Amino acid sequence: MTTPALLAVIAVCAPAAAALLLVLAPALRRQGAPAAVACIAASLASLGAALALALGRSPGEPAVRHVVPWLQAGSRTIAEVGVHVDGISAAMLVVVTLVALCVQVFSVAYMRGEARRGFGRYFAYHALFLFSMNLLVVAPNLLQLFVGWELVGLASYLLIGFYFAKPSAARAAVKAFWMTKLADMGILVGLVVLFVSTGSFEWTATPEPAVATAVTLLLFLGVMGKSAQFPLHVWLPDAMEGPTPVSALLHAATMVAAGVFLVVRAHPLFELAPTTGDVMLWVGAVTAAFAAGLALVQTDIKKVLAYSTCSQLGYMVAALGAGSAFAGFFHLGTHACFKALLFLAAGSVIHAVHSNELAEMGGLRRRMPLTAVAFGIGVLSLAGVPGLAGFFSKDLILTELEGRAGWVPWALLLLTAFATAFYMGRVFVLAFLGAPSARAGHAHEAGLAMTGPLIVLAVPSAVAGFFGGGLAAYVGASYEPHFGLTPLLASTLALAGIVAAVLVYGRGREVAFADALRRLDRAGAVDRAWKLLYSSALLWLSGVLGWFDRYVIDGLMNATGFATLEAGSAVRVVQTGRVRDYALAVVAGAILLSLWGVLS
Amino acid sequence: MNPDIAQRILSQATLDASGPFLALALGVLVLVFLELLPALAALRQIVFLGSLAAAAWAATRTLFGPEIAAFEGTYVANSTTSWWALLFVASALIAWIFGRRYYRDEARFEGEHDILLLTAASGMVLMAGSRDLLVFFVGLETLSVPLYALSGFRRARRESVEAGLKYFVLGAFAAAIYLMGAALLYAGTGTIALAGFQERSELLETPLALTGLALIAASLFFKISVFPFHLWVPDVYQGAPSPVTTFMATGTKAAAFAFLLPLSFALPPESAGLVAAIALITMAAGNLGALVQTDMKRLLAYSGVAHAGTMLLALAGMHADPESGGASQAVLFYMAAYTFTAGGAFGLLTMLETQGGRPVTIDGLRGLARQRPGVAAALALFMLSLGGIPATGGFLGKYLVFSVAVRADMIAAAVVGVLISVVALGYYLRIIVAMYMQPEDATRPVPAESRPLSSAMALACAAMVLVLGVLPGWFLANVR
Amino acid sequence: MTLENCILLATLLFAIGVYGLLTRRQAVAMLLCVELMLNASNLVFVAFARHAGGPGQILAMFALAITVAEVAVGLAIVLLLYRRHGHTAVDAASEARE
Repeated sequence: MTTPALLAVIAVCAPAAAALLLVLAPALRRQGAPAAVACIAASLASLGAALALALGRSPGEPAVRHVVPWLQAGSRTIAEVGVHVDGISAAMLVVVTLVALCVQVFSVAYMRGEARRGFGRYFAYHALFLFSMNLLVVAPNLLQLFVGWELVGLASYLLIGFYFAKPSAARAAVKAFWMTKLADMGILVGLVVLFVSTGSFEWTATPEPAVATAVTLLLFLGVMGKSAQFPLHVWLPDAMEGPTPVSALLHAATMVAAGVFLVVRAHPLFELAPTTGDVMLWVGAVTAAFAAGLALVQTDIKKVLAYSTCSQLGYMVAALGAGSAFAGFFHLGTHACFKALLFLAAGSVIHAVHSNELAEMGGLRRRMPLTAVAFGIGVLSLAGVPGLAGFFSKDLILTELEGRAGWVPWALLLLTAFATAFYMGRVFVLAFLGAPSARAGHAHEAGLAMTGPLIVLAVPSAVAGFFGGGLAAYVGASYEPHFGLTPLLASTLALAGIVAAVLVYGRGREVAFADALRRLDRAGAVDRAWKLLYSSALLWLSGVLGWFDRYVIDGLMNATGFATLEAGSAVRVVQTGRVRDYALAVVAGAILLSLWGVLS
Repeated sequence: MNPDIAQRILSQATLDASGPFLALALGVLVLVFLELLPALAALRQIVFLGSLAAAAWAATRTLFGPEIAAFEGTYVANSTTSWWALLFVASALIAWIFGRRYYRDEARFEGEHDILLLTAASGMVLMAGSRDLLVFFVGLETLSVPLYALSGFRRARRESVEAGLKYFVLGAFAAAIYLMGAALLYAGTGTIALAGFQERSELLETPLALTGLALIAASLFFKISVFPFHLWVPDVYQGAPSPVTTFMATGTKAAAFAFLLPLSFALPPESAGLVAAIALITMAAGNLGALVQTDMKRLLAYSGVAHAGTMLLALAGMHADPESGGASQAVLFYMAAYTFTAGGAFGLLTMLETQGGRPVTIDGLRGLARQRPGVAAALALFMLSLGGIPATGGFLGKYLVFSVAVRADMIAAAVVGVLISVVALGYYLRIIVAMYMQPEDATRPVPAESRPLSSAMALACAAMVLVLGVLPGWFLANVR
Repeated sequence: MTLENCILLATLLFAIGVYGLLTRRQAVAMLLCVELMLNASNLVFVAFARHAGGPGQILAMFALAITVAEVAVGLAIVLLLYRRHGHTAVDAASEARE
């Protein structure tokens, strides 16, 4: 095994070992603190391996693969497992492990109030998550990627439902699982179709154009679920029921970006299907604008960030739809840093104020200066203020979209850029400026375990943009920041958005604009529509089947010469518990089969 | 007897081919003999396990060799039948181990119980290896008759007697339909051997033969519980003693599929659409039925119906599948995963039921994760495997079956099938939610005795589910 | 009797058995109906073996022997039903349902 492959294996296996240890040694897990140590040590090892791997590669080096056969049929290998190290996976590994480590260290302080058993369980889930995510990132083919994909889904389900005593958390966990699972079926079918048409699970496979379109559309269905694209986005805001560090890691920085990563990985496949690209372009643009609109009216700080995540993922998907894998990947990386930063800073605030509501915050800049600065950097970066990380990646996306599909997606995203700056400005003003509320008066900065990760993440959130060119060369793309009309427009809008937010909310009160928008809260409508589809439609279907059983089948029996049945049996459920009725069904089935056999 | 015939029948090849069956049958005879001598009761368990072990050993001898035909070609042993035999042995072992200490009121009849179980297992082996309608009928009855008795084994309980009666009346009815089908097929083609059908395939097109085939299909569909022949399943599974349910759910279905696969070449190719439609309706009926259940055994019964539908989809794609043996492999793998998953799940229910003294409901599982973390984790794993989550055997089984359908150009059916199986996640998840996310059921009794044997079996089942899910390479390479 | 007539008779017997099974309430009567169906198939076996040869006679012998075992177990269950429920009406034993 070559050194890069070995390092990648270490990055995957260290958290796996920690997870296994914590599962097999309940005594260790129940102690709490040792579990955290094991998990963080594993993440540290992972990060070390990822960094060594990334720094040891020179730009443009060919991919390193180390695989062992996994599924074999006769002498033919159907699928392999192993590691595939190239610029993309190396860079992604660093992002994932860095954010994961920061979040885990932060969690030590944030979750301190938990009972010891819960504390241990929390870190066991985290180790499981990091293992699954790394497995996904280094996957040499789409099948292993899908396995990791499902495992992160499982970890997400466990972590959202971490506060399982809270009914809303349990419900949110189930909802998230359902929604993403439904979408994952698209991937499953897509993989089967891909394998049947090309005989492999490689993303370099080249199926017929029609098949490629079908496969990529099916894969994109899964991406829509995982990366919370409209209309499958409804699970993400609910997922905020989980602990805030979890939201930072899974539902902002890494797991939800797995969908984008899948498309980046399978880019050769997606290039064969321009139709899918158009679909992605539109879905991404609509999601970005729609979610930004909803973020404007949320009163819960985490919900604002959740909708903002949807919106930013929409940017990435639109970029991928426009055919620029690098733009999507670049934004994925910068977004992971500043969104994790924002979530952790929000967590720090929530920890201090004991509330998610913006109305209960205010004036925190004096009490928590470090958090305020960190959050501020995140806000400016996300808003796309020139010079910060978000500026570069977002502008690259906007530039790539110039002239696509009649400029409409471009205009939508430009509008979103303004909305983004506005809602983030609003959050910052409401939480950190103005007069402190009753609760916020007693808030204070937490210890180094919480502030440390904030500082670590603030650095790349600010400066990562300047490494865009380097990253592009590293993954084998090309990128040259250019300062044309689009970036100028975008940064003007971003600044205008922030200024507008300060002007509107500077006096510390909500305005009629938001009230009006809240009445149009269409998230509620979308939510209700889903509920209708899931519970009512399903129950309805089951009711119809029952009705069908009861009236149609029984009626049919009577009509076709079995009138000898006593009158009371005319209306009865098929599952009557009576042998005769069951025998009747057998007879009917046998007769139908025979008729079919003879007549056809 | 003509020495020529004797020589032909009593050869080494015959012995090799029928080894697993002989081992089980011999075990039955010895057990019957031991019943007569109460002093030797202690030997019963050894004989039972020894007989299973001998059968497994005999099956492994023909696992990789060429096909051996015995008894004038009416019975064969090849790699596939050997795998089936191993699966039946596993199924019987699971049911037997979870049945230990289950029958409190019937403890003195435990010897009979073991005899019946072993007889049924020998019938399964016979069914899988038969290449002739008569041998299959003998196997079918050798399986069914002991199962009727086992279903009603808890003779003091009304629900058990009711289950036995229902299973018997409907089972006998299905057997009669099978025999009539065999008679018509014989009258239409003049033979009862599968090879004979292949030779005279033009005769299979006559109305007489087609009606016969339809009747045989109906009775086999009854055994594997396919819509609309599945109505007995929930009632019987719920009422029968839980270890017997374990055996029925895993073994009977497998044995019927084992014969349906070699038989299905006789079905007209245009029947693929019909079979696929039946498969999808079965999946829908099973899953929708399970959605509204509260009793766990009943829920798993409906889920078993849905799984039978899924496997039938592979059968539908068999004709058009360009990869020969693909469907057979898919069904075998699916059934193996299902045997360990459902076997483990029913087994855990048996354990909980014995300790609680009452049927297990979903509400009764609330908060199990805190009281019995091991049991809850294993049950959750089985539910995930039944739901087809990756890294479990259930996922790979589903994947293989849907691949067959896709290869056979039945993409619409595959997509609908996948969608229907999403519905199933709803109720599997409900169980996990109850165990992990709901407050505990304070009335649940704490187990008074530990049951190391059952726990070890549950662990073994869980390990097999994971092995089949994570390292299926070896099985896929060797199971054809 | 020609082969056609034999098969016709067997079909008739089979149909009567099915009809009886679907309409009778008493377990013993249902058992008799199943027997009727089984014997209908035996008739086909024997008749066809007489007309065209083949293993039909053996088939009938096997079927007879096996169904005897089946009926023995069936009667035992019916007896059990009588002891437990006090009657042998199959329909009344339908507590499991839905």
